[in-house]
Amino acid sequence: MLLLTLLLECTSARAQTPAPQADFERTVKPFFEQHCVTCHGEKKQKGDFRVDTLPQNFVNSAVAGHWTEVMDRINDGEMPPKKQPRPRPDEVAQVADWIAAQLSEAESARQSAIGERVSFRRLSREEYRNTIRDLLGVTFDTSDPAGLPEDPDWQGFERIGTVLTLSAAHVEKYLAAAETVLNEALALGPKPKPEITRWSASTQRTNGDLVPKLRTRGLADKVRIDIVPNNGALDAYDLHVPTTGEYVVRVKLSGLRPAGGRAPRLRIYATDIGRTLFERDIEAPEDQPVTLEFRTHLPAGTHLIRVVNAVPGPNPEERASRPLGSKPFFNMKSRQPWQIKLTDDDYKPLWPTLLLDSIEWEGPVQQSWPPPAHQQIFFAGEGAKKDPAYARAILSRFATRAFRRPVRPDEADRLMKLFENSRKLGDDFENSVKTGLLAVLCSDNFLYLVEGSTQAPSPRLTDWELASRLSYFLWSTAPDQRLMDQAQRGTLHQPDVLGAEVHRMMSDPKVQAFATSFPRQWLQLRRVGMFEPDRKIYPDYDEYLEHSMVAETTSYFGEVLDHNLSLRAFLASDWTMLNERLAGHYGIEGVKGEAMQRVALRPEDHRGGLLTQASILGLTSDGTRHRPVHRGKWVLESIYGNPPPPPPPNVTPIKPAAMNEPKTSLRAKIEAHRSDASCAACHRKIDPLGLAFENYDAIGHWRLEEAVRDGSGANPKLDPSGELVDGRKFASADELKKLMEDDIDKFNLAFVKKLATYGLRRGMTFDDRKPLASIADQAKAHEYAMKTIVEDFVLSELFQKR
Amino acid sequence: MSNFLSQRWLLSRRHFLRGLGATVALPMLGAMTPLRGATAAAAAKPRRSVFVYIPNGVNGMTWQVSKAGRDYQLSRALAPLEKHRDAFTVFSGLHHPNGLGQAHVCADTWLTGAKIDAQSARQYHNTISVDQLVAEVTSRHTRFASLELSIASGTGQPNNSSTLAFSRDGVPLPAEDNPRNIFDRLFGEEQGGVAAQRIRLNKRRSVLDAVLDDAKSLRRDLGADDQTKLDEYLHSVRDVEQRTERLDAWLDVPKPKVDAGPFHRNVTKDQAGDYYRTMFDLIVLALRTDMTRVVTYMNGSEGNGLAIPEIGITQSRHQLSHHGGDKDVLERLAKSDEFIMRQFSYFLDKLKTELDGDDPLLDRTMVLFGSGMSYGHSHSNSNLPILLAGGRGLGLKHGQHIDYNRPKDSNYKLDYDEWLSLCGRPKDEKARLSNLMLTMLQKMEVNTNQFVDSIAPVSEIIG
Repeated sequence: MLLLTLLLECTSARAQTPAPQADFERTVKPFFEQHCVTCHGEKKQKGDFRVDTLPQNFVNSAVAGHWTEVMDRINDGEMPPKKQPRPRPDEVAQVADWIAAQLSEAESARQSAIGERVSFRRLSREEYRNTIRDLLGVTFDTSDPAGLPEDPDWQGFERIGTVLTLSAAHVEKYLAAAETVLNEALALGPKPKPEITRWSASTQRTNGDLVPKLRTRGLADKVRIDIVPNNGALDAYDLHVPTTGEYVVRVKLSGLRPAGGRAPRLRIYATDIGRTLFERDIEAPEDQPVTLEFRTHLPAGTHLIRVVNAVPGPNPEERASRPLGSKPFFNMKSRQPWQIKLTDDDYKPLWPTLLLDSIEWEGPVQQSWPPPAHQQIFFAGEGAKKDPAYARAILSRFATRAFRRPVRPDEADRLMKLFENSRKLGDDFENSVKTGLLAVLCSDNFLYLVEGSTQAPSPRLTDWELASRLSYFLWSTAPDQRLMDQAQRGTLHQPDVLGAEVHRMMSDPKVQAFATSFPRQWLQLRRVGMFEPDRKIYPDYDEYLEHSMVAETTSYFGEVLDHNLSLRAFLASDWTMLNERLAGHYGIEGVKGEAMQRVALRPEDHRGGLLTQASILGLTSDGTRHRPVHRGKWVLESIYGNPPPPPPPNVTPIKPAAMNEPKTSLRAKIEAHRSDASCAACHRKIDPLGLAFENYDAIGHWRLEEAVRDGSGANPKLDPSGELVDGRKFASADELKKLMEDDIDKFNLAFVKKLATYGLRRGMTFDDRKPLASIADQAKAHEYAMKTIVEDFVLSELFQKR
Repeated sequence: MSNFLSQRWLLSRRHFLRGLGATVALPMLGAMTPLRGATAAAAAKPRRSVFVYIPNGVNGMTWQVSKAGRDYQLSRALAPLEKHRDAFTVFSGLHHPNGLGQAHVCADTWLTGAKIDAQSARQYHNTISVDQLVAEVTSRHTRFASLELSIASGTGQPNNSSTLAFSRDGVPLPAEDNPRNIFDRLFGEEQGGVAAQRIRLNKRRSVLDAVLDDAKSLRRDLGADDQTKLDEYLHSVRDVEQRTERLDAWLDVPKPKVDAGPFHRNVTKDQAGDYYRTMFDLIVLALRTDMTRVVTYMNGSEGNGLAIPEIGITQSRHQLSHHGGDKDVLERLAKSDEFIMRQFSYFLDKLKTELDGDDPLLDRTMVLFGSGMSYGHSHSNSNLPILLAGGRGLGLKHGQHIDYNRPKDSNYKLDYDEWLSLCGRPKDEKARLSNLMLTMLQKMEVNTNQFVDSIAPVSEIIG
């Protein structure tokens, strides 16, 4: 109760950001005066509402609500009422645009939570995992069912402080997670004995009593498991894992590729934890099986493991595809007539086929015993005197690393109290220390990036806070020892030190976290495959393609970063990153293997830049068809940083053509829709940016005509041409890309804003405009070189501001 | 004897924690109940509530029931419920006033009725959901306060929730989707036996306590405006502390022995029917064994409504709902609706055959079923498809179609344009879904006369 009274004191006054006036005076005010104030002004207030006194404090949600209503009503054509003179659609659009822009800025401001004296920004699930890895050297499988709940995002960003909420369920999971990782990282019990579980084809595939017979006949080793595409749950076995830890898995098998077809693809999938443990195309002749080895982290328990041939193919369920348990499979020639045919008459495979001999699971494997984290935590070794002073030193060291700043004496006291209570209850020294470690891992200081202080308020970050911000920005994990040392010395904020550190960090492999997470969030790649493409319309689509699509975009970003290329590469280029699967999808020959590699493009490939990558073209689709309006909206959001105003509620849907009408392209339907002037005002801005990509279907395939089901006659030809709001015309996606390159400065500014949103973990506000513009200016001076932009951003005022 | 022992143990534990003086004022009542329950007079019979959500609305042309009152004809979608006709009421014309003109945020607000304008620039802030209000009252009787189930684990994203339940702070409560995990959480053996578990919980409490202490010292220095995130953390930790108390108190009450088989087998979402029925079985099991009295179940979220390959539907429900008026797609949506209603009928079967004492479980269990959307293609949220089943023993009467669209002349043409016109704006502004929720709250003995924008309970179903 005491605390409740205490915290009612001191309420901080927040600065309100004034809305910019220029456009209001020029466009909005005259519009109101001409069309609105007669009924909603000084003399009359119909519906108790007047517009002329509506405050421009958009951050206030009641005020924002009124503005939203004004926007919706005039957009709808509901206001001014029918009998009054109609405003021109472009006038309506200007006013609606202005309101939308203010609302969007204000929302950003709210997401910034910039008024807080102390801000708490929770670690995302990815950051939690990385931080635990660095702190304790163990893997926590965050996306397993026993892991952590999935994080929400805001405009694609999964690390925005105000959006990452926390509930009791999170705390329970954090507690359980802390126990799990400490149990694995510390040597508090006997050394776990590595064991080997061996699955051989004869034991997994044949009836038990047949095995001894096969053995006596010397055939047991010759049995193989034939795995055709779509084998689904046919090959699923229970794996008993006694101890959580790292396991080494060896798979012996052959993989037969049919002439002109794809290689079979081995996927080992743990059903109960919903995780693919391993996936790879396999090519090895029937008589020369290969042995592959991989490592995976498995939680204790019984896991149902599926061995899948993950390529499209005929459905084996429709016909008995394989020998029964009493008739083992030996080779491609030993087939029965009623089974699905595996080969042609020359015994060449008809389908991608896997022939599995054995799988071996060995573990848990330990680097050393006690594990390195144990040695690091109990730093004085086995011979140390196990007294409270040692416990205090252990807990203080660990808390300092976990909190990413020196632990305070009162914090250490509380941890020591836990230690002492545990001792009293009869726990040994190590287990009592563990109780303290548990508390550290559940503390708000660990789970949140805490910035600001009540004792010494400052508009700038402390060096400790800066170390964390920087480290989570580029590495998605806690600062390493060297950053901590610089913070300790208080030198990190010095431009030369900071510059050297950024440079070092950008050359560290850990920067991979930034190179994949930032593009994934900025470009909203999480949406790829969210509406799974319809298998009937897109039979080629599979998970491998989906991963390759995302990998193209993230590795493309990585390439631009790595070589410090210009931002222009995101708009257009004569190269991209492909693997064999995606190259096949694009119809580009000569790319081999699964790894993404830089490939030169010809004009007739119709690719280059981000906008014609399959991931981007796919993420806006709904699984059955492409959606030009959503594509246009995505371009406005992600490339121009300028999201369009929302559509008015209850729009009438597009009706399909009747059977006796000719087939109509989506474009024609959208254009018919746009004949409504009130829709046209906004869609004039949105649609051309999407319609330019008509030649790409919902999964990014290049095409010349649109496959339309309804109606009669030929499929309509596609027309990607269009006109931008400012009157510039284009005939194709390539030409639009050129026009966008002319707008490089708009993109540059949008990019800087996205980078800052990611780095500062908050929405950008009016106040951030100037610093953002100056970073953008610097970028321009450096020819938009990407790595330089990142470095300049870190060295800017903005990055070090609270 | 055992009561005496554990009470003494509780006392010594609190002492161990930090001495009584500094202990946070925790509502111990709930946690203590099972201990007192053994000696107390037979408690009042349980009251239960289940909330089942289907995403993206329905095909209104095959869902809409045509005649108001008792002698209505079941529509095509509702036909699978024929045998349960007397056990439910079907509603037409209900809506959430705050949900009109919204899109997929309707799932986030189905049980909260909150105003979340997903398309405008307001910050996302939800409010407590009706199930959690109920759980505040029922949780003292059960091992688990409530159970959150869904097609996807976690909370989803703001405006595309994959959970129906929201805490007092308006924070989404993560749901679970895996039958095996849910079963193990409910019925699994305590690791290492009761004594070891008690020590574990004990430690857990002391850890939580230390962590709370730490955060509170900072909170003291902050102004009221500064604390949203820290408060969220503090409330959550305190919640877990209470849950730990409850678990602790329940340790001496043995868990019921039930067959794990059906839930430990491999149930996948590619077999939608099997998956749905397994989840319904779990709910019945949890209710029958009184592990909880409140369950929310998202049969599908707005972005993740299962395809049903077993009846040849390969598109997700979201895809079907953007039918664009296409007849084939609408037919598939109708089939999907029928399929879901067959599974729901299975659920009601189970609730009828499982007994609670001498009466069917359904008698003291209310099941609210429906969607937050009516016409998916352009995201309309009026005239929601809603049913309320069960609860006869709590004083509900069923067997009718309550039609707020056309209370007098309930003749529908059941064509496309009519459907569209019913879904945009409510015909009866007072036909609020919150009224029905208020009715449920009162039947669950939650002491209130108001839920969000409710006007009054639905008198027609109160017997």
